[in-house]
Amino acid sequence: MTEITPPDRQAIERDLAAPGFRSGEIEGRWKLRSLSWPFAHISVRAPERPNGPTEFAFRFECKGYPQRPATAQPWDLSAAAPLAHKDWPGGGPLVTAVFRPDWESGNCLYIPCDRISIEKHPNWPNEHPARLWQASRGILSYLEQLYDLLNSSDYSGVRGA
Amino acid sequence: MTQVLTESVIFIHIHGKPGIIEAKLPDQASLHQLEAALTSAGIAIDGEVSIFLDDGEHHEQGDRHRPLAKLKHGSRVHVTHCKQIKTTVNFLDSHHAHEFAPGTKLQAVKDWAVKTFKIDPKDAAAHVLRLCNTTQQPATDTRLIELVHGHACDLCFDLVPDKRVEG
Repeated sequence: MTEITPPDRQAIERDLAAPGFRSGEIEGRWKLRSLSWPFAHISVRAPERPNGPTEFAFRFECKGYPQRPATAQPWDLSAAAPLAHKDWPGGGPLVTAVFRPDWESGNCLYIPCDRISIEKHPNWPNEHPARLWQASRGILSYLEQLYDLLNSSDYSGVRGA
Repeated sequence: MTQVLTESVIFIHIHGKPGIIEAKLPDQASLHQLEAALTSAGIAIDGEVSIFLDDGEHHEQGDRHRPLAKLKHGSRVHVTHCKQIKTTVNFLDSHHAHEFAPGTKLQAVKDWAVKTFKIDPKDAAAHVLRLCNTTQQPATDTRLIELVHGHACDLCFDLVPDKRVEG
């Protein structure tokens, strides 16, 4: 019997091959590392900082994509496991407000475009309309925010112990 | 000996249309070849239209058969009737305007605004550009030409504090 690919899986596969995502890859802003449904592992470039990595990887869970926001956590690609908290991005108030290992045990980011976080903050659509997940833009609406945070002067490297 | 022909991927943005189109060009492509690729992609090239590469200040013109020096793998090609985008930035009670090339990234506009309004760099990090009369804060890599509406060649931004995500 022929297996039918579910629509959410078709949609993320389509968007990861689409020009918007591809141009970001060629420009070096992000890179698809693997897609193992329902998870997409994508790394995002980070600027040079003392003891900082050249990129951070994230595991996106994409069930219900694109109508349902994805949820993402920092990921250790080599260990195939959640990134140790000490290795999470660190910096000023804007970066540390989003990369919070204390939030949901580090299983997601504290940002309005994240599915788990937005479900627990009914006030956020009014307070942070510019940061919400956009179904029309899909994964790009999440990735662009991660890229801008990591490539801002508010980012200083890894959190440390 | 077989000659290996290599190609570059380009991403085309057409004024007034959402999204970008991916296309391929041979390396060392000329303006003539680029226009042919645009026409093949269904994009009308006439005397009203200008072609800009990446954040180039000037549209491509001149010898149509000479290789385009600035064209590279991953280049953005902007097809527009605008020669420049008149961009106004409001900050507190003041405003300034400047004409930028259509392919200018929003980060460059912010950098210009920070310098023009004499904002301390530490404070600058905590500010973002928001499209006037909207809640939209486009990503810093967004090109100005992607934000204009209809036939307009102008944009307006408010430089506002970046609201920290909390409770």
